[in-house]
This record gives sequence, C-alpha cells and structure tokens, in this order.
Amino acid sequence: MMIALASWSMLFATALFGYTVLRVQATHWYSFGAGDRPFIQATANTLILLLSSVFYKMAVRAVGGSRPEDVNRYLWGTLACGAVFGAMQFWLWQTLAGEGIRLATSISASSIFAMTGLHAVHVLGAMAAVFWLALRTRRRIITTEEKTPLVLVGWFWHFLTIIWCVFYTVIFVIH
Amino acid sequence: MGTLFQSLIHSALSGIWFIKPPQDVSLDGYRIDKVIHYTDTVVAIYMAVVVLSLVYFIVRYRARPGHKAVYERGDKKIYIVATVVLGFTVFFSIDAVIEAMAFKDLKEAFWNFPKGANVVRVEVMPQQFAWNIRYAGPDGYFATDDDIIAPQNQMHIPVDTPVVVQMAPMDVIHTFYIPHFRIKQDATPGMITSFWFQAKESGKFEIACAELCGNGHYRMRGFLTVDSPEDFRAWLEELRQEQEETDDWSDWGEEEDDSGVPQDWGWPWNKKI
Amino acid sequence: MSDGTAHKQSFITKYIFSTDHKMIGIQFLWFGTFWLLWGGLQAMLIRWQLAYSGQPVPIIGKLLFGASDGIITPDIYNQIFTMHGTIMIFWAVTPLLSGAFANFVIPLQIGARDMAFPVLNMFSFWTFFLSGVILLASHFLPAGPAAAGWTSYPPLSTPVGGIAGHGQALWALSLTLMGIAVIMGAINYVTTVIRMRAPGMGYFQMPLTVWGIWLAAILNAVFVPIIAAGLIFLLLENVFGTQFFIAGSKATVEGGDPLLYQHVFWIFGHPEVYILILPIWGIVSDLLSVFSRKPAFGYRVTATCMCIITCLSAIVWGHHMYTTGMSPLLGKAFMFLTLLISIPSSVFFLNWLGTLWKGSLQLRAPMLFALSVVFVFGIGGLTGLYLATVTSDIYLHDSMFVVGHFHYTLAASVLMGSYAALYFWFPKMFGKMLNPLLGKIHFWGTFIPLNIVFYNMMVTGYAGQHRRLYDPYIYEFLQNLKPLNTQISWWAWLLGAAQVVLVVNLIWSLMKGKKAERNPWNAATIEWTVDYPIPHGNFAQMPTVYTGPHEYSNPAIQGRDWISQTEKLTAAS
Repeated sequence: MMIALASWSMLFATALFGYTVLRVQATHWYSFGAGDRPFIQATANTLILLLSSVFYKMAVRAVGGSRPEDVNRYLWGTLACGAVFGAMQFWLWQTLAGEGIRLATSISASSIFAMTGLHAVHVLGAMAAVFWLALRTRRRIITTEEKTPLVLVGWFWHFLTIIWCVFYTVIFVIH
Repeated sequence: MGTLFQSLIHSALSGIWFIKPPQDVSLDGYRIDKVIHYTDTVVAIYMAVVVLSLVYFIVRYRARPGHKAVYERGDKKIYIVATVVLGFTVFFSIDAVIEAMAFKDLKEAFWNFPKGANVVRVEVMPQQFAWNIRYAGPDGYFATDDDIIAPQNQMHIPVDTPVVVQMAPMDVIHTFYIPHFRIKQDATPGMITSFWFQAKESGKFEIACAELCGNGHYRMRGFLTVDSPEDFRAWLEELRQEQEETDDWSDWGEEEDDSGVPQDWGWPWNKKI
Repeated sequence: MSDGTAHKQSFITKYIFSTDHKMIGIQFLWFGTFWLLWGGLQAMLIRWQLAYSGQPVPIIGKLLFGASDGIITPDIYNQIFTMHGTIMIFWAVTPLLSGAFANFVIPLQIGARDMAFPVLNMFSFWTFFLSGVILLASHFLPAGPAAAGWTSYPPLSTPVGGIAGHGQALWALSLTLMGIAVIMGAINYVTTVIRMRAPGMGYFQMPLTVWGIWLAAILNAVFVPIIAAGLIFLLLENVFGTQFFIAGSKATVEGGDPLLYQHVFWIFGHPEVYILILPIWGIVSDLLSVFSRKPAFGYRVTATCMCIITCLSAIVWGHHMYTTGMSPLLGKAFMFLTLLISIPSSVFFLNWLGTLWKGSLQLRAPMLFALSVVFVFGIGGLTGLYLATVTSDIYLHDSMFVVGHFHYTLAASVLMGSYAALYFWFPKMFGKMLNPLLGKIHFWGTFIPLNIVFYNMMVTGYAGQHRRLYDPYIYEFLQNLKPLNTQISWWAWLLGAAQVVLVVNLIWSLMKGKKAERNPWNAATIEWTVDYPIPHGNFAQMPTVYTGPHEYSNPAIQGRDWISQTEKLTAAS
C-alpha cells in the first residue's frame, strides 16, 4: 500500500505541478471570496472529509476493543461522510456551471474541474472499498490479526483526505 | 549487395558516417561538425577496443576440452578501482571534452545573439503546411503598415550578414530546419522562439520542417535564397512596391494570402529574447 | 498456499483467471509476442513507403489499404509510425519484460511461493489485456488510429491539430489503462522483492536479473503515474475541449501551454527508457556469468551502478527538449547530468567484459544473444553522446540518427536481450528445449540485418534526413539517400523474415521439442532446482539460500563447476 500511495502521490503531484505552472503563467485566474458559495461548499467538504477520517480512525481503534460492533458503525459513518462529500462536490460543480464556469470555459476552470474530478473519482473507488469492509464487519467481529485490510484501506482514505486539503488550499484559499 | 560493399569501403575511408551531410555554408556550422567529428573519433576507438576484446575473448576463452574458467569474482579492490578509473577516463576523454566544446560554442556563437545596425531581422510564422516570412520594412519595426511579406516559403537573406529570426507558429509545433546551415529550432504556439545565423556563401538552400505537424509535414518545403546585399535590397524593394496599396495596419487583417491566412500575423519584435 | 500443494483448479482458474505468477507470466508472454509481431508488421510497412514511395504495397496492400488501392497515403503513414512506436514500447517490450519475465522469474529466483499480491497480479494482466483491446479497436475506427507520433505532442494531438476522428482519444485512454496495469505490477514486484526473499537471500545474493527488474519496477511505480496524469489531461483535451496544452492563435482561452505536456511527458519518458533496459542489463549480466562459468564480475559494483543510473535517470529529461528554446542554463544543466550517466554505464559495461575474461564461454543460443547485447548496447550507448551534447543535437535532433540510436538501445539491445531470456527460460516455462540449430539461424538472421538496418539509419540521419517523413525525396538534399534507404528496407524485411524462424521454433518445440532436464544450463539460481511442471506454490519446502547466485568454477567445489544457491559450499566439496 505504501508503494501504491507513492504512485498515487505522483499522480496527484503531477496534477498539482501542472496546475501550478498554468496558474503562475496565467494572467487571470478565478479566486473565490470567503462569502462565495463555492468557497463555502468546498470548506464544508473539507470539514466533512476530516470528519470521515476521524470516523475511520475510530473504526480502526475499535478493533479488539470492548465494543467491537463500533467498527462497523464507524465505517458506516465514514461512508455517510463520503456520500455527503460526493453530493456536495456535485452541488459545487453545479454552482460553478450556473455562473458559467464549465470544464472547457477557461484554463482555470478546466484545472479546477480536472483536479476535483480526479480526486472525486478516487473517493468513489475508496468508498467502494470501505463499503466492502462495512459489509464484512457487519456479520462478524474482526480480530486484531485480521485488521490489515482495514488499516490499509484507511491509509488510502486518509491519503485522499490529505490530497483534498492540499487541493482545497491551492484552489480555494490561495489568491 | 554492391551498395553494401561500397558502403563498407566508404566507411573505412571517410569516417564512420559514410555519407556526408549537406555542405555547410554557415558561419558557425563548422563548430557542430567539429564536435561530431571529435565524438566520432573517440567513439570509434572505444568501440574498436570493445569489439576486439569481444572477439579475442570469444576465441581465446571459448569452452573446449581441458579449458577451465578462472574463478574471479572481480570484487577485489584493484578491480573496482580499475573499472571506476576507466569509467572516469571514458568520461574525461569524451564527455568532458564535448561538453567543454559545446559550452564554448554556445557561449561564443549560438547563444551569442548579434546586436548591431546591420543585423537583418526576420519573423517566421510556420503553419500547416507552409512557412510565412515577414520583414520589418523601411521603418524598422514589425507589425506596422510598411511590413514586407515574402511570398510563402521563400526566404531571402544577404550574404555575410547576421540574421536573427523570431518564430511563432499559427497552429501546432513546427521546427525550422536548414541542413546547409546546421540550424534547427522549434516553434511552439504561445511562445516566441529565436535563433540566429549567418551565411558565408550565396545560393539557394532548402528549408524543412523537423517536428511532426500533420499530414503535410513531409512537404513543408521552403527555400532560403542567399543574395548579395544589393540583390537582397532590390528584392525587398520590389516586394515593398508591390505591397504598397495597403494603407493601414488594420487593413492587413483583411488581406489574405493564397491559403487564406490573414496578413497581419506579425508581432512587435521581442527584445527580451 | 502455505504447503506447496496445488489446490483444485478449473480450466478457467488455471489458464484464464489464474493468480499463479507463472501462468500470468506466460499470458504476458503470448500477449507481448502478439503485439511484437503486429508492431513489426507496421515497421515493414514504414520501410516500404521509404523505399518505394507512393507505390501500392504488394500482396497485402489491397487488403490493408483498400480505399487507396493498396497505396499508403500520408495520413495513414502517420498512423502507422505512431502505432508502431506506441505498440513496441508499451505493448510489446513492457509486457515481455515487466510482465512475462518479471512474473515468471522473480518469485522463483528469490525463493518465494508466488508474488505478494496474486489477485492484484491477475488484475494487472487483464487490465493490460483490456487496454490492448481498446488500442486494437482504435485501428478500426473510420478515421483510423492516433497519428501524432508516439510522443503525441499537443496541439497536434488535440482537435486543434486537425487529425480526424477519435484515434487520439482512444490512444490516450488505452495508454492510461496500460499505465494502471503497469503500476499494479510494479507494486507487486517491489513488495515481493522487499518482503518475500527466502532465508539467506540478502539483497546482494539476488541474481542481477532481479535487481534489474526490481529497479525498473521502482521507476514504473514512481513515473508512470506522471504520464497517466498527462494522458488524462490530454484525454480531456480530446473529449471535452479543454485547452491545457493549446496556445497561440488557435486557442480560444488563454493560458494553455504546449511545453507543459512536453515536460510532463519526458519527466516520465526518460525514466521509461531505463525501465525498458534495466531488466535487460540484469538478465545479460546473469547470462554472461552462466555461460562463461564464472561469477558476474564486480557484482556489487554492477548492482550499485544500476542503482545510480536509476536515480540519475530522473533528472535528465531535458535532453529531449534542447531545441524548444529553453533557458541556456537549463540546457547546460541537463547536458552535464546526462553525460554523467556515462560513468556508471561504462563501469558496469566493463564488468560485463570482466565476466567474459578468463571464462569458459559456451556459445549456446542464450549466450549468443547475450553477447550480441554487449555489442549493440555499446553502439547504442555511445551514440547517445552525440545527442546529449547540445550543439551536435541541434543538427541531429528529430533526425533518423535519433531513430537509429534508440533502435540500437531498444530494438537491438532490448530485443536481443529478450530473446536471450526466452531461449534461457523456455525449458523452465514449458519443459522443452528450443531447437538449438533454429536458434542459431534465428540469431544470425536477426543480428546481421539488425546492425545493417540501424547503423545505416544513423548514416541517413547524419546525412540530414529528418524524421517522420512520408516522402523524403521531395527534398533535393535527401535524394541521394534513396538507394541507401531502399537497401535498409530490404535488410529490414530480411530481419522480419528471420523472426518467422523463431515462431516456427516456438511452435515446433512446444509440440515436438526435446524434453528438457531440470537444469539444462547447469545454472546456480533457484528456479533451476524445481522440476517442470512447477507446482502452484513452487517449492515443496521453502529453500534456504547459502551462497551467491554466480558460484561457477569455484575451486572449492569438486566434481562439477557449479553449485546451486541452495547448496552449502562445504557440503558439495
């Protein structure tokens, strides 16, 4: 998983590299004021993802603990956050589209959609993995020896949360 | 087979690349030929050593009754030192030398753009699949009313005069290539790239495109004519008179050449590059 | 499977959706060979056009190019060389080296039962297969496949460039999928080597083959995602009309940058060529040792040099872009760093010669191919010097000299090395020997034409012929090259014909070949300690490693000139 994360890091790093080059060379670029709806949506999403990671961490902690059914509960919590994130992203894209900002409208629009889209696709994949784990832990209690898949999927989930934080900062915060 | 045999003889007599490049008529092209010839020499020596070693080893050490291999791991200090020293020898005999030659040539010639009153400036706009060529006209400024546009694919320059070219392509990446001058430079959309050169002899030389640019890439053929300074001035004057009807820079936009390219494609000369 | 016994497998789980590294390796072998032949056919067509420009292709012309009466037209020509390059690099060499040999050999050579992630391994193959299906499909689009060169520079490779149809989009999509498959494989190989070596096998007891494949896998894991990002952006250009890489008068939004693509492409592209050659360096180092009956000379130094080159490969990409107008300082930096690679390359090359020195050379088929790699890589490596130097590159950039150079390092070194590997491991993969006489004929039939074709190609490049030309002879300065180009084509067709000998050998040997003994080469590495067919799980008992991988002609051994890695030195003497 570490190597896989290294590979994924390179993927998102390249996207970030491209974004940086294009932004530095550009004469104008969208910036979002603190009161703009997209900014609020993105900020909410950041908090939601952070919460999802917290839930996941609690799930891992609960393995082998006094309330093993919590593992399953926290995983569903993560999934719920993920679903809200997805819905909120979609709403964000709709908001932008409503303001006339679409994928091919301008370089900065293309970059924003491409980066958030790339991230969202990976979140979907991660949610599938978490969903599978949630089903697995619903029927049986997993032991400490069996928690490796749980931990590894967790690394990927936290990785995506971190990537989102970076993207959020670069796209929505920095002017 | 006959050609093959001829090639081998040629090869032995005239260096390892047995067909000569087009004759170089530029001021600084000899530098490139020189670094290539130096590389040729050292490469040939090292390759000869390798081939002779291989042949010798294969013959001398081939498996046969009574012949045994010697158990040598090659990890004694002497061997490591020897191979590393040889590695550095290779580096200093070829790499360091050609690097020094290249640095010197880049500094003295290729990146040392001429400045001065007699420099001829040309703007070139490559497109799919032709070369558009533009001169500044009597006022000395580009993108003004008196610019002179050469017929497509026909570039003229005076002999023994430095020429600086700036390029910005219309559509995709092209590369301006004149083999007789050893010049090659990319033209990338969104950028202005530049290079300079000087002709030592007059004549007519071919221009080609050296970056894949579509189905017509192979036939992007242009001509560079090197005139005497008087003939060059006369040619420019003749063109200027033909194009005098255009009154205003804004009219250039409505003028089109045969392929439908609006003729106001020039840009103010970029002084920074 | 912790006890080495095979569990019951149906036809589907054994041959189709197998998770056994050996079967997956063989799947990659056939997959890569198919594409090697397809790409090779395309090369033959390119040579037809360069020799007999504008004339109908004989025999198969009408079948392939019905619409133009068997004549290759300029747009089709662009498609052919684009696909030739793309296929050879990504669908022939990559599956053969980082798919077939990596999969088959790594677990056996390090004493593991299988790869670390067998299911991921299976997904890797089938993702690769899917990518191949998409690529194949692109050939049958109405406007044909991609035509912007394997490098696919925008804006040409975007709708702005004027190439008709969806070939470019499918190209980018199939390449992205292929990249994902490669990354999956890389994760497996890197993890397996780190975590699953048998007791006693430290890093410096591993065969150099494993070093080569492992270093290539590390590069794959780090750099393929970079091109994947670039390809995804290119896909967006082609499908959704974004303009990340479009600038100048054809851009309708400002801010795009074609150079961004070139940087992203070559930051991946240069390590990619080392990904392609590192396994070969490892394999050749080992094979020279086996067939000289001597340890690989300077084993640790060679492994170290391979590591150094792996690291250096990441910082030299700019030498592909000298003519773009980059800043002089950057050009000088890239030139210096590129030339530095000469040092470790020369050192391990000398170690190859050192392995042969005072050996007892058995000139059997794998050895012939391995020796030829020494020769062709010498030429390929040395000719890189001309291109590393900024000034000589001004003249030679985008010329046939470059094509000759990279074919020497790729088509020659990698191909001959892959053949060496095939002849060597065939007995372990299929239990039969490849016919030695056909092997020798195949060798000479490949080696001689190969050299004539690509050496002369460099000659045409030096004489001024630039690349990707449908008809070079419209230029006066190239007309004198027509006889030589025609000669090159004939020798290229001979080269192609010689590969038929290999195909015949493969089929014949599989059907009627001589049964192979357990260790026909008296080789020391662990894969030769198990009998064919190798069971699922490889070893009845986990092997323990006592010696290095090249203990040949050790005077302490009596009665024979080798000892296996799993034998103790004192026990054998």
